[in-house]
Amino acid sequence: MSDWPFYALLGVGTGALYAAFAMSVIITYRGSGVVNFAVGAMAMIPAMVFAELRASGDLVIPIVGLPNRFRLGDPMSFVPAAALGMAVGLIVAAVIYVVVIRSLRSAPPVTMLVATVGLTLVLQALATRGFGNVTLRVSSILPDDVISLGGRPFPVDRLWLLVAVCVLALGVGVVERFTRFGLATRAAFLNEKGAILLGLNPTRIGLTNWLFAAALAGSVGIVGSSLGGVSPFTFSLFVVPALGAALAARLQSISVAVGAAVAIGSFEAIAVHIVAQQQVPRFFLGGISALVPFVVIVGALILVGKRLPNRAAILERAQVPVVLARADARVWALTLAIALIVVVSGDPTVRFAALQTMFVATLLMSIGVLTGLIGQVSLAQLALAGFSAFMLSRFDGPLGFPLAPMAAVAVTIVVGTLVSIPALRVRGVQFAIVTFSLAVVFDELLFRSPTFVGRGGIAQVDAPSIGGFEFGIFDGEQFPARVFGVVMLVVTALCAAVVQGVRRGPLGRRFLAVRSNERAAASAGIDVAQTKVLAAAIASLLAGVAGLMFAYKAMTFNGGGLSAQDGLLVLALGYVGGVGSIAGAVVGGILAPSGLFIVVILGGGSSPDQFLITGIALVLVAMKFPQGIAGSWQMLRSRIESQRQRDGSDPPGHETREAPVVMVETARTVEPGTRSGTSGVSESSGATGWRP
Amino acid sequence: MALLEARGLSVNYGGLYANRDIDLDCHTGKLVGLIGPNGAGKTTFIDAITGFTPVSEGKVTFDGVDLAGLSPDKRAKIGLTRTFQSLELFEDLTVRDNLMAGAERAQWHSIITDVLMPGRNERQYREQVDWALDIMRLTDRADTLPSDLSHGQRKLISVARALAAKPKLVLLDEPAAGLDTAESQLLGAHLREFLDHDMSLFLIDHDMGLVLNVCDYIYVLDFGEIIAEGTPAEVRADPAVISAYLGESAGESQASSGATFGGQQQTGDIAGAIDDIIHDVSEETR
Ligand SMILES: Nc1ncnc2c1ncn2[C@@H]1O[C@H](COP(=O)(O)OP(=O)(O)OP(=O)(O)O)[C@@H](O)[C@H]1O
Ligand SMILES: [Mg+2]
Repeated sequence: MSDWPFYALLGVGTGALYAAFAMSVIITYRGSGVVNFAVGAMAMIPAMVFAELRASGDLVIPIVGLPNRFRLGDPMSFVPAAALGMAVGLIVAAVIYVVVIRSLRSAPPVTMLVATVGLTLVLQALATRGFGNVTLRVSSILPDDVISLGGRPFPVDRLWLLVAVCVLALGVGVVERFTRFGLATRAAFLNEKGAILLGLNPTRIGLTNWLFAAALAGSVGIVGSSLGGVSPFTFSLFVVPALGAALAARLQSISVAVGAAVAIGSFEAIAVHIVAQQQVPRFFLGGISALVPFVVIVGALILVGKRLPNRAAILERAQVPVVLARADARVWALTLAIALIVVVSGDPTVRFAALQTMFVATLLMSIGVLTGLIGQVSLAQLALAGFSAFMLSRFDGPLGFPLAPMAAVAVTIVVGTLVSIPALRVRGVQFAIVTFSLAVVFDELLFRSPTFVGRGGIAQVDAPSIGGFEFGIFDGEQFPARVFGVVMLVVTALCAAVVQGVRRGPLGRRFLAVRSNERAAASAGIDVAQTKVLAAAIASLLAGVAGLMFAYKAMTFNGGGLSAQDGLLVLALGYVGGVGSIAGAVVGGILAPSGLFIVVILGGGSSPDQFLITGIALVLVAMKFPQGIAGSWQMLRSRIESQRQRDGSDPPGHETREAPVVMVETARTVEPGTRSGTSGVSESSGATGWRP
Repeated sequence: MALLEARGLSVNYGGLYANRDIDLDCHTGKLVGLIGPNGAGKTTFIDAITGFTPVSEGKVTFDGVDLAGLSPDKRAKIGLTRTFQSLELFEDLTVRDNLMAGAERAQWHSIITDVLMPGRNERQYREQVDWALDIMRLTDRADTLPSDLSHGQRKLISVARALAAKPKLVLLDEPAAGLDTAESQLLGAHLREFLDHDMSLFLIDHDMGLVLNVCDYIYVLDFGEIIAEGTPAEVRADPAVISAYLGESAGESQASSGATFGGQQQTGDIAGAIDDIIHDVSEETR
């Protein structure tokens, strides 16, 4: 107990890194309204460039298609290496702003989130390609003396880092409060139109803030890289505590964010210490420290969040468009027929790719219910699927085939529903952040806990069988067995049928009503909280089933492929395919890594390239086709249809119009002034006040 | 006993009383109006009645039920629906589905039936929706998205959505704002129609012609307090009302607070408008 303060102090170094990222998030948000999920990945680039220059003297530039490694001679000293690293980092940031962020200013927040998730994938893939999947270690550039603190050795570099970050925070505060630029930023954030009328240029303000934020995160990344080394993936996970701290500060107060971030770092260090001391049950030997940011995030949101948004705040009302197509029996039949042919095809690699595609498609249907129908971007569905898979392996021994999977899915539904309850108060981007931190908790706390996973950290399931009829993935002759594929196809189709049933009925209407406008939904007698929980339960059911597929497909597995990082990729696939439609889920499944498209069309392909392509596709989709591939196709089709109808021989005066099967981007309604003039405080002015 | 009874209702926004000590009744089958200058607290009153904003003091009963602690959706379920000044339509749903979402009343077991037999629950509400579409002349727009319609039609949708559930009382927040005179008159004619369908209405509007014409009883709100009430004729003659809209006290307070309360600057316009309208109306009644 008495050594807690010591460990708390040890943790301030990491906490300072989180603080820098949290500040960066807040500055970006103020400057362009984007919650930047890619903040860690963007800081990773200058840190990696710097570390490589220090280690080998090579300048590596994160691009593809051109030479990207230049020998500059011997390992460089600190100052030129840091300067070069920052230069590369800022150029990358500027390119990102001009190409992606600028055009997203008026996009729904969720689209911005998806775009920055795409950016994360792209940057990680570029770094992996350029530097290799390595951890570069550099010697500390801060004073690295070790002093004795209460008899224990304490490296002082982390205190220096904390001091540096606090000085930066002070500087940010001063700029914000006392300069014209800070004022202009606030003005443009609060009322973009008004700012333009005053002669301000929101795009330039956004760019300046963006570069400033990137420089801040990048420089602290460079300096902090000595604490534990940098790899293409390290900083990306720092996003969770950083976003947690930023959320605790309501994306507003720099000082609260820094305080929260440092506290998170300290508590994590204490948590690690407790685990190392074995003061906790063996179960938690996974990563108890992952719990800290999660608790902070949930706590902050419970304090900050509102059950129903009030009338001044129309925050996050705009949604990604959803495509609502009527079920077409012919399309279903054709798809199932083709799927059947693929599933029983003679080529085992194709059969295996089909299994992967069906697993991902089912998972994407789960995301589709939450994101497409209720408007909550969940990054935890893969984690729930993993939970279900591990539960299956636990129940498999005692319960046997039909009961064990049922029990696993049931438990998954309960867990998925329970964790959705604290999230009732949050929406949009905040929900995404909560679920991402939840995915990290699942991954680090459960999937790596030997007690949870099973002996040796490996879980096992037996081949399913009923009455002596086995239909596992390996039937003794073929791998994968055709029967297994057919069973999976049937299950996938059943899931699709459930989703379709939800979508076209009153339940789907209620979901979409809540998604469109929670206040209006409540006024229409819809219990918003209950509806959201229900959606979470249905999504958990589908994720649970996907988890069964994962388990039976692998037979033996560990947490590999179930991390929060993989969850980002799954969401990406969902968006690229088209969130909110079954066709979109199928398309996403086909495009999945090791799925049909990659295996059959591209003939394999290396992993960083897949991530690169997926990331770029994600950014493109977010910018140009927010309704995804399937959605864009349906939209096009309905446009052609209605065009044909207009040109066709409709008798004049014939009034019935074909129902539009497509939902276009929801217009943010700006109410024209009331007849006698709109008051400055009426709801309509609230609507115009939001970024137009 | 009145259908809706507000007694001593106050709403306090951080020290500022947006509503103070309001006593107000809505009787079954009657159309009650609430008028007042911009920022008087009219929308706040509807928010308080429907559970969108917490009541600081006072008591509201609806149909004999004390509303304290009931969530907005529960209030809608017992027959108290509203429209929003800023419409708040479901932009992702077609006009018909907007109304269906307003009409349906989910029970705990409808979760199961909704998934297994989606058509079953819909049938009973379809008629109600068709009726509301018909009464607002929206039938031929039923399958379009709200965003494809004109502002006037969007207003009608928001009213139709509140009606589709066949509630006991509908609270309308400026349904005629932004409509042209013809549309506004049409709306006024519709409003009286609803009363024949066992519905009572509560109407907020700045369109004096509309309010004075269609309401049975009118309350006048200024700076959060009821300053007058009575039949249209009584209200029109009430000196407090005239001074609230036309009088010097309003002019003075405008001068002192006009900069902060943008709405108050419009008082002059309202005065002009009310003058014209009172003139029109009195000519019409003759
Ligand atoms: N959520 C809130 N927090 C603080 N003050 C509020 C809030 N909502 C409204 N107010 C204040 O309460 C007062 C009454 O506002 P309200 O919108 O009810 O007026 P109104 O009569 O509906 O005006 P209008 O005719 O412009 O619609 C205004 O001064 C407004 O600034
Ligand atoms: Mg109002």
